[in-house]
Amino acid sequence: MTIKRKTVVLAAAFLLAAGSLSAQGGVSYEQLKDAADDPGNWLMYSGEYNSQRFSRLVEIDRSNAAELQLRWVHQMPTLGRLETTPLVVDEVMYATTPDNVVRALDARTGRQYWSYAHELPDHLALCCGKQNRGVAIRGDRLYMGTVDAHLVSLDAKTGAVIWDTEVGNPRTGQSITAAPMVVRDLVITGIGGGEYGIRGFLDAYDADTGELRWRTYTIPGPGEPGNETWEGDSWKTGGAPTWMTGSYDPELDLLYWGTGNPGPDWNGEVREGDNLHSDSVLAIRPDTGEIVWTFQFTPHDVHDWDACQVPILFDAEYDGEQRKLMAFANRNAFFYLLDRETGEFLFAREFARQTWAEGIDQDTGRPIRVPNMFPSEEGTLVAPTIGGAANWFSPTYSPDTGLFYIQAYDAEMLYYMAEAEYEEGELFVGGYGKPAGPADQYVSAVRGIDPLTGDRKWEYQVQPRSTSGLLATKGGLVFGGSVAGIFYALDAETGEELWHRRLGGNVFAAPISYEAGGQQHVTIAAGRALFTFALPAE
Amino acid sequence: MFRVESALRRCFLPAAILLVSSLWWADGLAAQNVLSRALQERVQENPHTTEADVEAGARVFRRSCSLCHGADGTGGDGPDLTRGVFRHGSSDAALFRNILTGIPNTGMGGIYQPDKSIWQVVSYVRSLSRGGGEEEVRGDPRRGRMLYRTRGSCSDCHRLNGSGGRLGPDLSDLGWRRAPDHISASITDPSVAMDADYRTVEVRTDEGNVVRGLLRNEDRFSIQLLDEFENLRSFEKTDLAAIDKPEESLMPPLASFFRGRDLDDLVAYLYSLRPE
Repeated sequence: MTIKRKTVVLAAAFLLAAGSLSAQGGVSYEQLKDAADDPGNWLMYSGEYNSQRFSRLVEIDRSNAAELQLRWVHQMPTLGRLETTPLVVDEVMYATTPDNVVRALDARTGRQYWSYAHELPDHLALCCGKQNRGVAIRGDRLYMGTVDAHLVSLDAKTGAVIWDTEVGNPRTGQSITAAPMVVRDLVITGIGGGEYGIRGFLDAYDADTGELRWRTYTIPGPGEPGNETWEGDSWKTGGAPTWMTGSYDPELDLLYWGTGNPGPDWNGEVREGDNLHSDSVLAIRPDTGEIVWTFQFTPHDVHDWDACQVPILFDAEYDGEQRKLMAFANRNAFFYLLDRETGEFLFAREFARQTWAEGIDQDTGRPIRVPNMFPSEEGTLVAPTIGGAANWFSPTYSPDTGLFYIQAYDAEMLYYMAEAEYEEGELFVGGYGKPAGPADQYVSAVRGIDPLTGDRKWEYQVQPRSTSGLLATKGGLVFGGSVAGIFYALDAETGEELWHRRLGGNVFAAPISYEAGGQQHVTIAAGRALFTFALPAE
Repeated sequence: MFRVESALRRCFLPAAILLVSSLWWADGLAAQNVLSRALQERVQENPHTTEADVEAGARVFRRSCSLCHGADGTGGDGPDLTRGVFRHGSSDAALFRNILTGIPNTGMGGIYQPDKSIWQVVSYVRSLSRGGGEEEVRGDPRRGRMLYRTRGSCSDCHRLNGSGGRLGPDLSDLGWRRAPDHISASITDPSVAMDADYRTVEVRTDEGNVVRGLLRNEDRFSIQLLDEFENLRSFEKTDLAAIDKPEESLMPPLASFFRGRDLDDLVAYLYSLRPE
């Protein structure tokens, strides 16, 4: 054997080894794109790029859900509230705490492999406490946005920091609470701070180096179309953050990201105009950051109704034609159906109680407002509340039932307006809200909705209220939780409750499902712990 | 036996402490974000209580707290802080801790400020409930005290310095929290300004038994209350025929019992109740 030949053989062996290594340990873009073919893993925040949060595992179904048993509990090191959606890759679970701790756990037992804590400064401007909703994965690296507005890349095997990039300045009220999204070699992250007069943006970073590839502002600057929808310089402090994870359509190669409220929240007098692109969904080209189309749900919002919901992408026949659709149950109490290729508005319908609009104009998609519903000094009673008819907690969609499921809240609130003067790092909200009555006076319910008509097929009432995300499964189930600490499984067709357990801590997170040890598991965060259920082992 | 135990203790305790402390340190990496120096060093009393501190605290409050507690602290999505009642701890140290770290299982997140700013917020929050003040009242507090004990039977339901009933609010420091007008209105028409902690609930069981009391908790499947006999009761909703939550306070309106001078005297007595 010549030296040359030996080298070739060695190189081939090395390549083979490298190949098998990456197959074991790394998550490729192809795997992310085809997550539907890999139901044993939960590879990204919303399960798949279409954000349906639909598990294709079938072991747990309508017939046996009543037999679900607690498999393990893992206490997380936090005093805050867990809103994490864990990822699961090859029986390793990655979960986060509100203070940016990441833990890698054995998904069979809940035992810890490693723990990482991001060091945070003791001065942070956060409207609503620390939050974190999860990580993204690519190869053998994890990506987490932090409440001090960093984007951190970690080694998935050890928790070691690979890079740490400053996305924003926490002293100005910028923060990251959402899980990032990986598309090809890019890590996409939004920014929070809509209560601090930031100017919202969406960023893409090089997954290998952490370098910024592009930044797209949600509020157009001078000379750009839409800037005229802001009075004077109000665009500079107009908010429109991007504080929740969006969705992605690999075929159309478009990202879809919701934007938050205009700032100041409740005093619209200092920012007359539609305030584009607050409370909107943006369709963005991932390689360039170019905005391809936009749709604004609540022009000139004065109620803090962020379009922070996760857009659900699905395909169906609509009006006699096969369409690429987007279902969006907005905080303003209307369910919207859009064509996600063009941004065309198809229809909107109430999914929860509201008193602020006569309806949505069928031609333009704009709300027809009821007069005198703006916040006032003496308080104006409006439904929905500031928290909204829906919020960040994820809806789900089942391609089997064709239903869209949402946690809806029918409450109302007194809205007050106050003066608002911008000062860096200070709350810039121009008012506040007060509950008009105790929470249990209003209906909080999981609703099953036909996304092609907006018809309500069923509802499951949750007392006193629920702010948890939902998970639909191919076993014909919908899982959800409640602030009373109850975790439940419903029949996806009828809404009938099949099983529930009291977990003794608020459920704010969304459930996930995965396979470990050959069995389907369901995990939910409640209080300060992760709880995992499965059917009795044979 | 004793010897074995102490031997075990000698061997295991240091090892256990080592293990616990090293595990704590793993968590401590996170905890250092949460627990400030003041907590670690166990500062119990507020070192920043001057008028200037109160003003500085007000600024931080407006910036970080007003979203939920209202610009003036009278409440919004979060509770009213002007009543001097803090359900999760009333000491300086408890207020400090809750402002810093938030309160689990509530909407309250912590704020992220240097320790000094947090103490200043504690000072400001305290200033909100310095309340009552020293308003002139007409009545005779000594006669009011007699009426409280006799005609009113007030202590059947209210507590004063550790004795009395539990179905109404503790009145031990009422004069510090409430103005005379408010006290007077609460006697003649208790349902008008009812505290959220004292909502009335009435359940009827499938057997037809009716239980009234204070609503303590409720979820989809069950309801918890303190009944009129001060028993803590819990019912599965499947065992109940009806649940009613009347808007009226459990306390009857006493306008016909106390009017004119009697009312003035009772108000004067209740207004005189201050923390020791």
